[in-house]
Amino acid sequence: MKQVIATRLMHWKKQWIGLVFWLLFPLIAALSVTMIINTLQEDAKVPVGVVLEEQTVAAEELVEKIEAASFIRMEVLSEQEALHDLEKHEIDSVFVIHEKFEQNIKQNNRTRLITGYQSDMSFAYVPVKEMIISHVQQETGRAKAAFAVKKLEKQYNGQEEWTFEEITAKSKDIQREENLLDTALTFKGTPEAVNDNPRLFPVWGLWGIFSLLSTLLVFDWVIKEKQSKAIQRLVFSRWSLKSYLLQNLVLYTVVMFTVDLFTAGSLYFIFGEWISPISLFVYRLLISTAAFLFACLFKKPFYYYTMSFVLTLVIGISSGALLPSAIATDWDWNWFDLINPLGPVLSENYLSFWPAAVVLSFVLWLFRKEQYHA
Amino acid sequence: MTFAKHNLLFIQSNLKKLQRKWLSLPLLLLFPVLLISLIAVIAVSIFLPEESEPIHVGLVDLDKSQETETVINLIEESSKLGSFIKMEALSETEANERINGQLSAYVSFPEGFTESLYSGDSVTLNITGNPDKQTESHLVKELLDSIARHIRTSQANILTVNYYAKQLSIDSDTRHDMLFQQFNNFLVYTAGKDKIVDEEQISNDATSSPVDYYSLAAWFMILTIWLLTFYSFFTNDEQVRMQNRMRLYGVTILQQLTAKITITFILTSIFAGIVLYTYTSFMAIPLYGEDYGRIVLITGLYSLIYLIILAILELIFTGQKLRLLIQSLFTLIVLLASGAIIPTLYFPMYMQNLLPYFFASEGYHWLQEILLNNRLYADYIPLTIMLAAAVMMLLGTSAWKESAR
Repeated sequence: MKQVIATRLMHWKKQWIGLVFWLLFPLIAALSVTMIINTLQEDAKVPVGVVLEEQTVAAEELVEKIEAASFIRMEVLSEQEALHDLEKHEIDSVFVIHEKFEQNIKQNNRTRLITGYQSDMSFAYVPVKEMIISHVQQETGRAKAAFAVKKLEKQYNGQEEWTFEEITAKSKDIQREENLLDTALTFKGTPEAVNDNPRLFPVWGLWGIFSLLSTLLVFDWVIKEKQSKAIQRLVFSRWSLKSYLLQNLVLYTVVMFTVDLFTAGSLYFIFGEWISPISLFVYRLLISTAAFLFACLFKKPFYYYTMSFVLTLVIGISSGALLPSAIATDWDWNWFDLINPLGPVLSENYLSFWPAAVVLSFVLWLFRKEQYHA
Repeated sequence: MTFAKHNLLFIQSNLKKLQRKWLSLPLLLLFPVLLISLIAVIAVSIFLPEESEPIHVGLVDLDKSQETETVINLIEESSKLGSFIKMEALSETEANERINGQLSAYVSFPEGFTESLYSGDSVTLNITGNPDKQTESHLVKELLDSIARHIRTSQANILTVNYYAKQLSIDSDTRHDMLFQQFNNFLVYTAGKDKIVDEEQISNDATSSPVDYYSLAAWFMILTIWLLTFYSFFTNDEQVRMQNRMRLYGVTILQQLTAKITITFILTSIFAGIVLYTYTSFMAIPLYGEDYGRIVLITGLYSLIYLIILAILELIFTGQKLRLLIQSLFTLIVLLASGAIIPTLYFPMYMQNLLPYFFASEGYHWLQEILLNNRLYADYIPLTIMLAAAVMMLLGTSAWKESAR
C-alpha cells in the first residue's frame, strides 16, 4: 500500500489542479446553485392585472395591499387590455374590482365583489386569489361586526349612536395591537421551531448528483492507466493489474470520503442541513465502485466523459434530486425508490436495486479477472 | 479557395465517421427524445391528482371547550370533501403514536385556547411535523397560516362586538352566549369566503394551450440537445501531435471547426425539420409557405449562434472534462433562459429586461409568435446582429489561439 500511495502521489503532483477542482466541484456547484435559485426565487414575481371599475377609497386600499404582496407584480389595466394580455399569456391572471365595491362592503354584502380570470396557463392563480380574498374578507368581516354591534344597540336600546367608521376603526386597532394568533412548526424529536420554507431543491440531492458527476470524471485514471506504457511493467512487480487497480480504488475512495466529510461540515455550517456519516459513507462507496466499474467498460476517455455526462443527466432527472422538492413528494415513489441510486442520501434507504447491482457486478468483475490471470 | 477545399475535406471525413459509426446514430437521435419523454412522464404523473396520496393531518384538542369542538368538527367535515388533505380528530397519545407513520403533521389546540381568544391574549397553534415528511409539514403550516389569518380577523371582530356589548346593559351570561353565537357566525362566514370572487376561465382556441406550448418547448429542447450531441460526436479527441501534423498542411483550427459546425447544422436541420413537420400536422397548426420560411430562418439563426458559441467554448477550454462541463452548463442556461421550461413572464424583472439581448430567448420568442400566436411577421435583425457578433468572436478567439501556439 505504501508504494501505491507513493506512485499515486507522483501522479497527483502533475494533475493536482484538476484533481482539487473536481474534488471540490460538488460542494461549490451545490452551494452556488442553491444560492442562485434562492435569489431568483425571491425576485421572481407573478404578473397580475387589476381592473378598477370604481375609484373609491376601499378599492384603492385593496390595490395598495395587492401591490404590497411580495410575490406579485401588479399592473392596473383597462378590462380590454387585461383580457387581451391574459389571452396572449403576458400576465398570469386578471382580477376585476366591480362597481359599487365600497358600497357593497358597507352594506355587508360580499357576493361577487371581484371577478377573477384565469387562462389555462395560469400557474399562480390560486395563491393570488386567496391573498386577495383574505384582504377583502378583512374589510367585509369588519362591516359584519359593525352590523352586529348596531343590531345589539337596537336590541338593548342603547343610546350611544356608534358610527360605522368608529366600529371598524376599533376592530382594526384591536387586530393591530393585540397580536392574537400565531402558528409554530416543530418537528417530532427536535424542539426548535422551524422558520424558513423548505428549499426548492434539496441541497443534499444537488450535492449527490454533482458528486456522482465528479466521481465519474475523476475515475478516468482507470482508463488512462490501463493504457499507459508503465502499466505493462507491472508484470515485473509483485502486484497484479487487478490488485493495483483495487488498491487505487481504495485510496481514491478514502480521499474522496475525507472531502465528503469536509463538504458535510461546510453544508451544515452554511445551511444547517445535516446528513448522517453512515449515509454519506454508503453513498461514497456506492458511487466510487460504480464509477470504477463504469470506467472499466471504456477504452477512450472522451467517450467515457460524454457518457458520464449523459448518465448523470438521466439519473439526475429520474431520481428526483433535480426536481423541485414540492413536486417530488407528491409523486408516488414506491416503484421508483427501488431503482433510485440517490436513495442513501435522500432517504437513508440502503437496500435497493443499485447497491445490489453494483456489489454483484463488482464481485463478477473480481471473479472474472481472477480467472483471466490464472 | 483553400479554405473551402479544406472545409469540404473535413466535412467528408466527418461524414465518413458517421458512416463508420452509423449504429450510434439512432442512439444519438433518440437520447433527447427519451430524456424529454422521461420529463414528460414525471410531469404528467405529478399533475394527475389520483396518483398523489392525500396528506394526513391530525387535530388534537387539548382545550376541550365547546368552541374548539365546533372548529374541529367543521374542519374534519370539510376535509372529507376534498381529496388533497385528510384531517381527523385524534387524542394526544394517538397523535404521538401515528406521527412516526402515516401522519404528516398534527395541530394541537393548546389548553385555554378559547379563553385567550375571547380575552385577546396571544395564543400559538403548535404544529408537530413528521421529520420524514418535511415538505408536507411545511405545506400544512402554510395552510394553517392562511386559516390563522382569517381567524385573526374574525377574532378582532368578535372582540370588537364584545367591547361594545360590554357598554350596553347586557348581563354577562347572555353576553357570553351571544359571543359564542358570534363565534359560530364568523366561523361560517370565514368558510364561505370563496363567494367574494366570481371565477372565470379564459381560453383562446386559436392560440396556445399548455399542450401546444410544451410540445413546441419539447421540440426546441430536442433541437438544442441534438445540436450539442452531434457537435460532440464530431469532436475528435485527437492528440496535440496530430494537430501539429495537420498544421504542416496549412490546416487551421478554424477550418475544422467550420466543417464541424456545417455538418452538425445540416444533419440537425434535416431531423428537426421532420419532427417539426409531424408536430405541426398533429397539432393542426395552420401554416403557410411564408411561415415555413420564417421558421427556417429563425431556427437557422438560433442554431448557428448556438453552435458558434460551442466552438468558441471549445477553443477557450482545452481540457476535455472542463470543456464538456462548460458546454453542458451553457446548454442548460440556453434552455432555461429561452423560456421553454418556465415561461419567461415569471422571471424576475431585471432578467426579463435582459432577455431580448440573448439569442435563445429571442429565437424562442419568435417561434412562439409564429407557431402559437399566428403572427405573420418576424424580426430577424437582432438575431442577425448577434450572429455577426458571434462570428467575429469566433474569428478573434481562433486567431488568438493560432498565434498562441
